[in-house]
Amino acid sequence: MSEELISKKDLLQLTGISYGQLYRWKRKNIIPEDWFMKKSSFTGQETFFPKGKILERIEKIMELKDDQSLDDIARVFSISKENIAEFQNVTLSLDEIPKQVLQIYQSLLPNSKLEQLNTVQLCSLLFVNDWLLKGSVTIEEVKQFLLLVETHKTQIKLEDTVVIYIRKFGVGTWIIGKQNETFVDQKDAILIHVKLVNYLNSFTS
Amino acid sequence: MVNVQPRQDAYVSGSGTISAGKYDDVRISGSGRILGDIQCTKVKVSGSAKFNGKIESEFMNCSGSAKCLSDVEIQKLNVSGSLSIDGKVTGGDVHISGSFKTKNDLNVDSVNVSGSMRTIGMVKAEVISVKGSLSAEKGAECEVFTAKGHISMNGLLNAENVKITHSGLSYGYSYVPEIGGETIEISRFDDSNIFSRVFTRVFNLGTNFRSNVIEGSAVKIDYTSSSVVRGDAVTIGPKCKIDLVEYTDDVQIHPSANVKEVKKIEQ
Repeated sequence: MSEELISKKDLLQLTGISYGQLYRWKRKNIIPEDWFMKKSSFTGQETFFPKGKILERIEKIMELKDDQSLDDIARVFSISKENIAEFQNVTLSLDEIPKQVLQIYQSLLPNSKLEQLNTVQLCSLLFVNDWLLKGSVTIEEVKQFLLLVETHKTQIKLEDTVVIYIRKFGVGTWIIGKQNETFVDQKDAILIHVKLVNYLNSFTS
Repeated sequence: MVNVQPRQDAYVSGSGTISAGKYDDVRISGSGRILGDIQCTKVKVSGSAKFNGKIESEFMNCSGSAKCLSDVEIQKLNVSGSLSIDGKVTGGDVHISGSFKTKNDLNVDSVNVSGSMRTIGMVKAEVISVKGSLSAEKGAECEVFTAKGHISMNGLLNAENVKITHSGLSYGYSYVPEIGGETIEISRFDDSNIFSRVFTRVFNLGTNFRSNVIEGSAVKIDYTSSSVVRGDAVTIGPKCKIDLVEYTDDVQIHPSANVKEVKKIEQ
């Protein structure tokens, strides 16, 4: 809790950025809302920031802003932020997803915006690519999976999810369930049975 | 996923109900109730309508009175009557010339108010322009904010360019606790009406825009009272009441302004 704070005035003086820039970055969500902490001071209210975090972030923005648009930077931070909260070692960005999979996704859901994909969806697209390369499932089956993920994208959590694909009498079914609480008849042909996390780590390591 | 069936229109011209589903046009000219979520290309209300579910539509035109209890996703929304929405509003262009009330956040491309708009949430858009009255409980975020009339907020107004022309007399005081951005310009509407000029003099309504903190790269304010103004280049115009001005490059203060303290911040 005893994090070192820096006032807005000192921050601007130290980094040499202007009020306009600071507010612009806040608007684009490059600087998270909850870093702006209001505290009463002798001049009334003043805004403070967690010193370490904000200095690191501004340094990064200054580095990136010359060759990337603010929207791109915002995307970098929003995706990596979500991951850092859950896994220290994993960061995903849209660039890592192979084009052919994105094409499948777009043909399936033409109205969706790629920038709005969340981590779970990005993961699922990576998996899909892997499965297709291995040849364990067909494109049609993959589409079913993507639709299933799409419908439950907000409910699926990365940490404790397993993905299972079974085929019985030639008919396949996708199951997305909770790890250790999902059971499948072992007589069925289980083509895919993976924990989302382990699988994800195998990609990045 | 492909909808093969042609969608149908739904009209209510007396009194009636429309059930949830997909439609082409939905028109209500009497009194109508929509029972669930609808997806359609056009909604037109010229009587009175109550939407119990979500509305997902390209156009919506409300010249009567309508109430929606859930979220609204819309490409173009036109209100010339009265519309009240309880859920979130997302989409494209919003044009208000009547009265519009929401109980939740607004996240759209542009907001154009020439009537009155009131929201309990916050307004997020590319462009906000107001020529009547706007009240946003949680503040607003946009690139360009232009207002002529009455503004009332309880949160931060964060915009690249802020231009406010206030005319306090006919609407009462405008109040925005915090304004932040690149260029900020607050001025008073020059009333050509001789009657209201005299009125202003008599009751000494000198300052009629109030704020606590105004921070921008270039700040220019007239007839405004605020506790702190901070910026690179600051111009304090006539009849301002400011406790503290902090600047880095340049400051100009009008002789009739009342400024308690001026500080230069060294970079």
